[in-house]
Amino acid sequence: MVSILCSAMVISVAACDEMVDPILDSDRQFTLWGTLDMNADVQQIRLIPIRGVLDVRLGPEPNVSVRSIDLDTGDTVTWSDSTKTFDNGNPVFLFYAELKIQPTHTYRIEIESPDLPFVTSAETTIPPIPFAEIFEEDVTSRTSPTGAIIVATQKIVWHGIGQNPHQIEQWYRFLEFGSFGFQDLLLSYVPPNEYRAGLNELDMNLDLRRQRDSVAKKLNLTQVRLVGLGQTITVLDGAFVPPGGVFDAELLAQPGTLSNVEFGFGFIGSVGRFSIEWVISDRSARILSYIPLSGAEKFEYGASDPGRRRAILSAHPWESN
Amino acid sequence: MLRGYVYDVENAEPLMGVNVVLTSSDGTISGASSDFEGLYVITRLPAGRYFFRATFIGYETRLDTLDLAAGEIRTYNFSLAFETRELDEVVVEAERDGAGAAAVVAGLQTVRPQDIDRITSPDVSGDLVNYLTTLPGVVTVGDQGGQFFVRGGEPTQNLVLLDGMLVYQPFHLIGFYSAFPSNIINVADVYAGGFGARFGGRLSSVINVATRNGNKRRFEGDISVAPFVSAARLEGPIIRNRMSLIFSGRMSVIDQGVQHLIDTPLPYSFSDVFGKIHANLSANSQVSFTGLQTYDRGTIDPVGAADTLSSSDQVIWRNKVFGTRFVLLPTSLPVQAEIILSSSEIENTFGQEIDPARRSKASRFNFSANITHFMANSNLDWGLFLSAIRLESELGGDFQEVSTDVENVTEVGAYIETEIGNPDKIRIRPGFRVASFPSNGVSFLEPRARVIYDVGVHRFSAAWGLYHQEVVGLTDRRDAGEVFTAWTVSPKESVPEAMHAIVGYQIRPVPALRFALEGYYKKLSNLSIARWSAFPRFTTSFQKADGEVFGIDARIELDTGIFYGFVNYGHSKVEYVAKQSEIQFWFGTQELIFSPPHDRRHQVNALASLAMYGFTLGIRFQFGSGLPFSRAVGFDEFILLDGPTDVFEEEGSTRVLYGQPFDGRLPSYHRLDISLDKSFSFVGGTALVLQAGVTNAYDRTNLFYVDLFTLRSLNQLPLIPSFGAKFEF
Repeated sequence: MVSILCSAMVISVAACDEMVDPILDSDRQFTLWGTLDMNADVQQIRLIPIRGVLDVRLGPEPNVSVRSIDLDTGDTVTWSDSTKTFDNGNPVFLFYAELKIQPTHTYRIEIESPDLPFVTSAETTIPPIPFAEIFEEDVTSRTSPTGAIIVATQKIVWHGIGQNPHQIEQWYRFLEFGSFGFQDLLLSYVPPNEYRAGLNELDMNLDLRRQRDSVAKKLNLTQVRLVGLGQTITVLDGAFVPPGGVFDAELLAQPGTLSNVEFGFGFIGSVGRFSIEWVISDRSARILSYIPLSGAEKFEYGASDPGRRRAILSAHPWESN
Repeated sequence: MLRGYVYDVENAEPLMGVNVVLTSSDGTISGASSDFEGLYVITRLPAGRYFFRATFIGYETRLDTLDLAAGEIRTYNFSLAFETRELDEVVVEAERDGAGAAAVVAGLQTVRPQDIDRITSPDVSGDLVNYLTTLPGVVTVGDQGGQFFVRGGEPTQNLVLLDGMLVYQPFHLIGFYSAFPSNIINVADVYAGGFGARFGGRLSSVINVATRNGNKRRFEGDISVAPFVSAARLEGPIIRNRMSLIFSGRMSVIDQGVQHLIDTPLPYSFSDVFGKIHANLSANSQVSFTGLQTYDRGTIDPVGAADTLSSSDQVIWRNKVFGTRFVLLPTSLPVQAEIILSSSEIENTFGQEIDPARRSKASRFNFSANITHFMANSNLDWGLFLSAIRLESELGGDFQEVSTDVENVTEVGAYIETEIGNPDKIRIRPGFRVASFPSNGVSFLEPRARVIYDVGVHRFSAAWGLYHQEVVGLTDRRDAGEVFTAWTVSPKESVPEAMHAIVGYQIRPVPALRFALEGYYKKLSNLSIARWSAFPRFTTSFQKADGEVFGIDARIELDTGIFYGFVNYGHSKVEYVAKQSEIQFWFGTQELIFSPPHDRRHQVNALASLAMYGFTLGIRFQFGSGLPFSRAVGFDEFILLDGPTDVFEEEGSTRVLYGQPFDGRLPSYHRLDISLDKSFSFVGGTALVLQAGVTNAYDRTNLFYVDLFTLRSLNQLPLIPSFGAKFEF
């Protein structure tokens, strides 16, 4: 009985070796990575055809045309392609265009291939240009039995920022004695919770004394003159926000996480870096143990509000740096 | 009380299932049958003269007259001789109860060496694993890998004991072999679930192997060669009738054997060595020393350097187990005491043998005392156990959530269980097990119960229990080919837990035919599963999951003496549920609900064995519906955009754009194996057994697995002709 059963099963199944297809059907065609940069004249993106094999060297070469469309003006720019190979032999497909992107404009990047049914695309809206208000520094010194007590703060307010800046860099610029070269000293600055979302403002109160201590650890303050202070903020577009606010590779690598690509994967974002520079008075500089670059007292304060002054040394914040 | 051990007069091995009956002068009958150690115990015997009768099918009956004093505890050991007159083999095989393919009782299957030897295999000698793979509910992902899943459980959730000593990974890389050749086995109890309070520390199953003691009368042995393995066994008396030795060694000969027969690289090598010394210290006490060592090396990879043993992707594991077991029947107490001292170790590496990328080692020193009180109508079993466990890992930085390199764990505990009811009708075996891990500050109370109810030819059975596993084995199960396991301690707040429930029915309408039906359910909590990640690399970045397993098995077995056969069918469903926040953007939900890669929904195992004219023809057919595997949309490169990024310079990391986990199904698996054995006897008691066979007779292309991260597929073994010979002396 069992033998008969076995034989029957063998006959029925022996001839039908089945195959499996481990690749799922999908309308996702390409992965795009890139950031449109407000500070650059040439924009670039990376294009990766989604392939059915692990080894990128065995994947297809893209047969595509890439264009960007300014959705506010309708201006269309066709991008050029470029291919390079990394040291390990892996090919890279890049596309670039001479394009000065405009603040608040929305750009659409489109990837079209005659071999594929869908147009892969991503849109990004360029951040607006912020402006900064720099308040007069408040620097006082009093003596105590243990020595001089210095309190030195300065208020800076950035207006027109859509979200907490991605990065804030603070630096000091010095002129070395006996030299005509500037020396910039970058200080790490971890902003506390200073962003006020409702007002689109970043309200900072710099602790100049503490920054002086950091500078003094890296430079001999008797050998340099203080030229000025500066700050650069990096602002990302409104969609360029990772889940949880942290750029965690383990998390962001999961497909679909922080992705704005239609018919594909990846992310096209936009960034802007905005810089300002200013000076503090010679008196304040001396209290903080700097040797000032003479002439700072000549700067004029705003007539309507004597407590404030503009950043008279700053260039246009978008075009600087 | 009368008790004692029953031995086979030929070799002094214990005889299991011998019926011992005492008839008093007033005609009152008392009786018992011997257990796997040959021990029988008859209690509640008033003083007087008794007519003693011991019977065992196929053996000569032993008759005697015994005079017992009031309150006397008499130890009466004896031996039975094989009956020389020709017996009807039908009766011989059919009347032995408790074993056989359909003799499952609430998840328990008792396996004898002769059951194993009936299973068609590509070797002239049997191996326990070949029998286990015929059981419904037992799933192996393939002919290769040595991974063994029981009713939805993971391989590291199986408790495998050799004479009471833990063996971490006894299954060899080639699926036809384990550390247990049939010729060293006395009996094996396989609990697919619902095991009693004596066993613990694992969630899924128990495979409790009792080995033979070795021949105490004369030397004997065998030497065999087959396409996969060469083996040798030697046993004999050290002190005649008192002390014996048994030794078994096997070594794979794949390079010289099967690889010449097929055009498929099989980069595997394995071996096992077993040795045991057993001594009867007195009529009431025995001691044994047992050691086992196994070695497996291979590369489960379909491409690249997989055809050599020098690959950097090779996995190696070594088991080292040794210990001693002392069994005592105190002269004046109705008690059996068993003391076991053992040491178990597994070392697992991945990578080059000299400098592996990953290494894991688990060592366990164990003391246990098991006491059985023989009472008037039942036995009371209780025991104590103490283990010191050391877990070491060097994981090459890939294991992101296992921060401890060395962990030391101490386990202490106790159990108690008894059997109440009428032995001829209903037997209820409730029990409790308490296990405590002082070093981790956790304790578990695990109630258990087993019930057997006999009504004529019908037998109903059930089992229920709670189980915990403090020391867990972590394997990246996303890839079926991944067999590297790291052992670690579960976090205090999330120790894996299981609840088993089993209900069974068995009927034996005639002695030659048996049918069994069994349903089961397992609820699993706090399982550790690999996090679902797009990075194509090994990980033990694990997350917690819950699971459910339910299924039903049906078995029919026919034994006419000349013909033996069975058909087993198993249906089961395994489902895991986990939460993983980072997948919600891709799947639209944080919840992962999937069937793991060992979720085989349908299984059929059929065996037909025909013994005629000195030949034994064996045919084995296996069918398994397709196992889950994961599919992917494809591959790309991931670049971390964390602000302004130069995508011209960032190379990125290769990424797999995975689909839902295990949402695909491999094609069904089926295979037909055939073997023909012929035994030739020679003078002096020697014999030669020749075997010819073919594995995968119709050369079915069975897929072993498809690797999620490479989408490479590996097939199982093709048609393999085999020729084996065994010389017995």
